[in-house]
Amino acid sequence: MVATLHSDQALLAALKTDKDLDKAVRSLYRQYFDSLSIYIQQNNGNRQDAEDVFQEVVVTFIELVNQGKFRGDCSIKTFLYSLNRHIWLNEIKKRTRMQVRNEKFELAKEQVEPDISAVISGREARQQVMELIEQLGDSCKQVLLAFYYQDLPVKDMLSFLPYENEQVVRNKKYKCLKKLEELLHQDPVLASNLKTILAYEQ
Amino acid sequence: MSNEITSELLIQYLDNELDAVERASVETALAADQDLQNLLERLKLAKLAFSQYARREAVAGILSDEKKESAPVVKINRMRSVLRIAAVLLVLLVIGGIVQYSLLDAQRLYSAQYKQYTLGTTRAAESASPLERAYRNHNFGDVIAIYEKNDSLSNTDHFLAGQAYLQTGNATRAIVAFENQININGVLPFKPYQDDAEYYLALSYLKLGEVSTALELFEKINQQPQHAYSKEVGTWFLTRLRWLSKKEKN
Repeated sequence: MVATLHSDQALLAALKTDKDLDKAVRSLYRQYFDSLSIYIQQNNGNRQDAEDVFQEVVVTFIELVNQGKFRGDCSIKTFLYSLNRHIWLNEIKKRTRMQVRNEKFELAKEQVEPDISAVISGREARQQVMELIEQLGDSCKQVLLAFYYQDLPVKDMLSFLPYENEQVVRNKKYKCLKKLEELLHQDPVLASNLKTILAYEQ
Repeated sequence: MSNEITSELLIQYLDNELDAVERASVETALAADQDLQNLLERLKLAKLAFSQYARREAVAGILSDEKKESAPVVKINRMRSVLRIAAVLLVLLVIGGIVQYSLLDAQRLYSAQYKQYTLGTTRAAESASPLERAYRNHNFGDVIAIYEKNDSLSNTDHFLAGQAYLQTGNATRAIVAFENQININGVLPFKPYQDDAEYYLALSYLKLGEVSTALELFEKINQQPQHAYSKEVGTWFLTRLRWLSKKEKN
């Protein structure tokens, strides 16, 4: 079992390096999932909703930490509670559009820092991008993951990718990224939304 | 768009795979070509989008693994809680048992089990025997006096006399009276108060402190579901009676 990182400083340090991501995410889950889940389940959600929202909370938190937008003005716990509530109210709003819940949402929205609010509000566009990337197919995702997430040397990729040499791997990467670029080009609204989010996050 | 600069070259530029000369060449082309700049922006966007996708997938995978790994822990923790509660209950049960065992005696058990017998109203008062009338009036001393003076007694008289003896604390005489009634019933096709007599006979032995005999009689009653007192002789009562029997033998 992976050891739990108990202090906020240790967690933040781990979140900033992808190689410690596993340990950091597991620590967040062990320390905060149960309590965040209670909020969702006490507010018309179920266990599955709580798990989905928690994943969003973690992803958003990692993004904010990496962008330096978590300034440590409050504890990680308080910050995650705020994200959890905001993401769930956003989801309720999307699901029901009920006036009462809209009011609650607007009220809660005002209480969240504008920086965080902007990141969360891009979730829908990000979700669409996720669906777009799924269209690339497994072989493309595998190559792009090796290049852009795992940051592996090309020669190491040959040990698990079904390609003859490094040049073939590189060619595959070009084709795949180009394909993604074309998909985004075909959906200018989505590309524009994504650009706005990413520009904001840079 | 510049003819010399391909998407592939732009991606290499983006990924820092070009040497200084090549980079300078791309940057010159970019400066002069808006379409090329737009393409570079879209490629950059695609790359950033993929990085986000990758992180999201990684987090989803880690959380999925963590849920699987922590689930048995939760189950074990729940099991531990259940076992802890069970252990506490067991300890309380044992303590309760010890207390019950130490406080157990025949008189206590008899008092808990004994209920005064009440005659039904099946007969008119004038047709009832003097003994029965005395019993109905709760004159147990008169019942005993009539019983002891009279030689011609019915099985009902024996039964009521047994009840009167028990009521006045004379278990020895109650046993004799109940046994008389049961013996008479033995030769009758219709056996009045048979189940009642068996039950109160057992109670009389308990009152007298003859626990083994009482236990034997109560167990017989308990083993007959059709017996009028089978439900009165419950498992908990029999258990305590068995404890008492063992306690007295030790």
